[in-house]
Amino acid sequence: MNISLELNGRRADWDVEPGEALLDALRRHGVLSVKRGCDTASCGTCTVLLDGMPVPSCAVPAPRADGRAVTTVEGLPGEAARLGACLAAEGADQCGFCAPGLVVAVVAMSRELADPDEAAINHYLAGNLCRCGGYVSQTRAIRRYLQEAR
Amino acid sequence: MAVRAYLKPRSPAEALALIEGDERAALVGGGAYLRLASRGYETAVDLCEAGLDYLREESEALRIGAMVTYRRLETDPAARNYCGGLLARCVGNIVGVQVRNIVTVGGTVAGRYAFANLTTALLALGADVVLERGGRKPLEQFLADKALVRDVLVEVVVPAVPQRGAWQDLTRVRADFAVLNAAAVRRGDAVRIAVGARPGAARLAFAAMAAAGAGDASGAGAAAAAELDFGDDLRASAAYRRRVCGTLVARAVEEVLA
Ligand SMILES: Cc1cc2nc3c(=O)[nH]c(=O)nc-3n(C[C@H](O)[C@H](O)[C@H](O)COP(=O)(O)OP(=O)(O)OC[C@H]3O[C@@H](n4cnc5c(N)ncnc54)[C@H](O)[C@@H]3O)c2cc1C
Ligand code: FES
Ligand code: FES
Repeated sequence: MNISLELNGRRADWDVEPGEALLDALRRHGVLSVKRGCDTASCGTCTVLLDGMPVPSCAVPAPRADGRAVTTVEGLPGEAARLGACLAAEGADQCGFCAPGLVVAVVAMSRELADPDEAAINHYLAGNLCRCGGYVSQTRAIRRYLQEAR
Repeated sequence: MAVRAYLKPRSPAEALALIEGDERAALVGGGAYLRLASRGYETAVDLCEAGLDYLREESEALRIGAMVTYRRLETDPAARNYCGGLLARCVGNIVGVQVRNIVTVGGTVAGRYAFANLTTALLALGADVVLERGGRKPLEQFLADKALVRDVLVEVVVPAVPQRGAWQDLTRVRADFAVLNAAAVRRGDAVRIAVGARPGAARLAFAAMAAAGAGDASGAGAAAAAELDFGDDLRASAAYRRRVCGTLVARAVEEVLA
């Protein structure tokens, strides 16, 4: 079936399977920053913004993106570069698999919460798992990024 | 079975017409579980455009459309301030915001999931469900019916009267399914108590309600632990759950009596 969406600010007309997840459709169309971690809505590596709202793209049916705006880390180059630099500076990035989903979620958080403290950051990002175990350094990096953004 | 068609009806009546008499059609709420569902389906009937994502405050009720997401229960003032934040509290630690942005009230209640925190809270609140064909009925009655739901859940109606609510759950690690969950809601001297994830479906604890009504919080905990049945699963044993039940119910009742 045909859907048309706004992908990172550009119109995309795609032919998708009625039963396919947005994650599959994105990766099939070359958007490889969106990672498949668990495929069961539990890890956050597949996070994208759907009309500005962070969602696990592995659990969103692709046909639901019809007529809506999807943003991946490719659509957030400035934020990705700045947060990426903070993650590197704090030694928070190891394999990097979780990073694209984390960046998208942090951007959503920074738009939604005015001045989140550490507890609010941890609560907002509880759905973004990192199996290299970088939560402490990640949180430091995110606080640094939020401070620099202000 | 592969999904061959994806439909977005414009109303619950249209959605009902699409699933009625078609065994291979399934409703999609949040869709979070449909992908894992063992029962295959050929036609997906997505409710995202059926006009069910509303929260309506009336003089004596809050009407929650089936497509309202968990995140909306946390962020929309009508839900967030309802009954001391009971609805927001019971869902606030489920996975992460991404999942809470998609999972729905309707999908949770219609799925009759025994682990569901929200269903336990709604049961303590004395919620009614409104079905497109089946009409309005108490949640207890809807949950007791074991037949497959071949109807569209339109909304959940909870009373908006002076009341206090308390939420308690225990998880092994943060964001995991609850080992046990409990909610208490007090109106005047009457307290309603529900316990879920036993791991069976949520139930009202009537003896505990009587003790709580008489002002005895620890008695309510002991009564709930004695009157409900508990089971073993990978998260906990029945005996452990029974102990936890007494404590969680006593804490919830203490909070609403205070
Ligand atoms: C990774 C993960 C972890 C979770 N952890 C927890 C947890 O710790 N605690 C907890 O309480 N919950 C948890 N949940 C469950 C979640 O809260 C929802 O209850 C669940 O996802 C179902 O909601 P949904 O909107 O996605 O429903 P769907 O998957 O869309 O639907 C569920 C069922 O209901 C039917 N249906 C949907 N809407 C309607 C309607 N309006 N009328 C009639 N039938 C309908 C569907 O056909 C389907 O059979 C978790 C879910 C996920 C994905
Ligand atoms: S791949 Fe989607 S949440 Fe893990
Ligand atoms: S850096 Fe490896 S998963 Fe996070």
